[in-house]
Amino acid sequence: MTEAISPRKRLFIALGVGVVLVALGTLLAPLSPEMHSYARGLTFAVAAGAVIMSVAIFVAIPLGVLAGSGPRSFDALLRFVCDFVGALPTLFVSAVLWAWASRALGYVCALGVLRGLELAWLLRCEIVRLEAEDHDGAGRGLGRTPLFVFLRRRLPAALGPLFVSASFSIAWLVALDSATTFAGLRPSGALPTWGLLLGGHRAFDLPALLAAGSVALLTVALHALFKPPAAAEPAADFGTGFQDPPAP
Amino acid sequence: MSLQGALRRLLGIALSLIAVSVGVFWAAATFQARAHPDAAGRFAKLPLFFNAHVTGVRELSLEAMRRVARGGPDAEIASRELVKLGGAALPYVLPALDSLDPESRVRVALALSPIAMRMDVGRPDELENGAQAVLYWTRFWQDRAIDFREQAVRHLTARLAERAIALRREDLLHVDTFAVPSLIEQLGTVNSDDDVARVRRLSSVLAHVTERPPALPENASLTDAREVVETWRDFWQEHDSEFSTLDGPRRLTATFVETRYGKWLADVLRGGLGRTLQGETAWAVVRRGLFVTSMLLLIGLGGGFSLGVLWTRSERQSRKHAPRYASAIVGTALAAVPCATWVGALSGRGAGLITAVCLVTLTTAAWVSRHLARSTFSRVHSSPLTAAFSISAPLGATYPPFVLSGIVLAELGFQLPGVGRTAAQSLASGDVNAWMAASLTLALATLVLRQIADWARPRLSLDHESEP
Repeated sequence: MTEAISPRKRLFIALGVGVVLVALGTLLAPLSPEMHSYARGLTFAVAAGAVIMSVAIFVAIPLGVLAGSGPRSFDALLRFVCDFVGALPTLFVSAVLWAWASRALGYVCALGVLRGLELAWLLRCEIVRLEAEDHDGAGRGLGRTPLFVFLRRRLPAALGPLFVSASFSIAWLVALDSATTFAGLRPSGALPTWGLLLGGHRAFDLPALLAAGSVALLTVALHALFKPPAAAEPAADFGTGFQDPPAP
Repeated sequence: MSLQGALRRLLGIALSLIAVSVGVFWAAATFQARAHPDAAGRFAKLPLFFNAHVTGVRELSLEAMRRVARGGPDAEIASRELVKLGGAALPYVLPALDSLDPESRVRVALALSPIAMRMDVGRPDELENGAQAVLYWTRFWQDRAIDFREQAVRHLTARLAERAIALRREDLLHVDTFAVPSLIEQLGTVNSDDDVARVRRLSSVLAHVTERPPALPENASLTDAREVVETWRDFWQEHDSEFSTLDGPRRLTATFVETRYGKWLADVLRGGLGRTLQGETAWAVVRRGLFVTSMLLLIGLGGGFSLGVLWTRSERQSRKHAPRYASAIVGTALAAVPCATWVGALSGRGAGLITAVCLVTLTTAAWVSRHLARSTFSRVHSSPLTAAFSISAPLGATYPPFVLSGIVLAELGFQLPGVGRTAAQSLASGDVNAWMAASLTLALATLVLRQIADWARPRLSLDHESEP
């Protein structure tokens, strides 16, 4: 099967979804306090999701590359760190990070680092997998240096799943936020976010439905945007790359 | 897997669990500091992991003596502290009396008078006058310094534990709180009527010297005796350093032991993973919830993972655009809507649990299916099972914490008595022992699942010599 939707179209789809949601939030905000909460939650989700994605990718790429292709000690270290931070249900980790960070930005950055570690492990696994398949033997046979082969062939191929995985960051954040709220572990005085709408016991109210729909729409749009490149996945279709979870 | 490999993995799990226990303890303390800043737990004054300023009975008694000697409003409080420290303070305070000026010496000697009365060694008329009190304590130390030796007191306590003789009891009362460490040590375990009698004798002395209530009545049962022993052990855990001298290696150990983490560990080593705020052992609480959590874990992992593999398989087999788009969009959207929303919306309904479990499973399935890359299916493996195993290593890092979070929410939403609900409630209420037991159980499950996931990946094409 050939490429179904071009990258430009994907970008337009993602931008279109963003514009529609922003317009919807602006229109609905004056109608009621709940709708105002929805609009504020949308702003937070988009801004915090962007920060989380940036921090996560910044953390994940060097760590994943070092663990997948560097000295063995890095691999062991990353494994230990992932074991350490992933030992608890993500819900509790989020609750503690929220309590620990005095400001919302600190909390979001901490979540970004946490997400970065998960993505680093995914990247490491993908690099190991590609190395095992040894697609680059021909390149080395023609006199290419391993670093050149790595940077031009293996890393771009391995980055596809990482970006697709990172596209779930908004859903991941909202899921953690609502889970923390639902479990009664949300710090008092924390920023009002979609977690209050989605983690409460009135989950099928109109603002909650809107929020749930918006998360799904944003995730689908980001997912479409970050689909693995054709080089990494020769017969790829929409939505068939590695992705990462939103925590429940 | 070879025996050596299995042992290495087990050791890895054990070491990770130790490291995780430190992190989890920090997590509880951090959460408490924000959620209940005014709450004062049993060990709230201690540092979390390292105590650079450990204080034993010597430091405490000399400090209290100095404050009494200085006089003023603080002297009253310091006098009470000296009385509380009791006989354990005498080996440090009495030899230091001579170093004080006469007025301070009088103040300290008078502050020590209640101890002499409690020890049944002094009469009020000997101690009411300042000069007489100084003379009394000087003579007391000349006559009885030899009794304040650890070995001698341990011998006396062992003999009292063996048989009831009034004279032995008096001898122990004469050294007052100096005998507390030996008395606690001799409490032992309670399995027979002889043990009950021993606990009665020892707790009677303990209650007298510490001026605390839990002495054992005449007709006490085995259960009563065990409770009294536990109460004294709790007391000892809290006040250990007030009656012990911290010197040499013991001082070094105390930098760790005299911390909140050290106290929790001591609680765990006493058995039952410590006691919850309700007085139950934490192990009993965890054991009660193991079945529910294991069943939910089985559904979440087994159901979600299998469904995800089948979903992806059927998605791959479709050659048309439309069904694949639809599958991808539905899967992504399902995975994006938080589990908390499903659980919250359905928790009040009759068939809510089943529906919620189905939805949570479907959500996790959607997520798993998103992980199964086309390349994994088409290029490396042909069977769904092998393809699923091939992604077990990357999934093992994120899937168990994800599913466990869903389980916590399901247990909370439907009031199921599981380990996840215990963990969430104990974190919110500040019950450290319950939180540690529940969260470490969940952590153990995660670590084991991760090891299994790592071990289960196919060895043929994906093996990598650098993998640990």
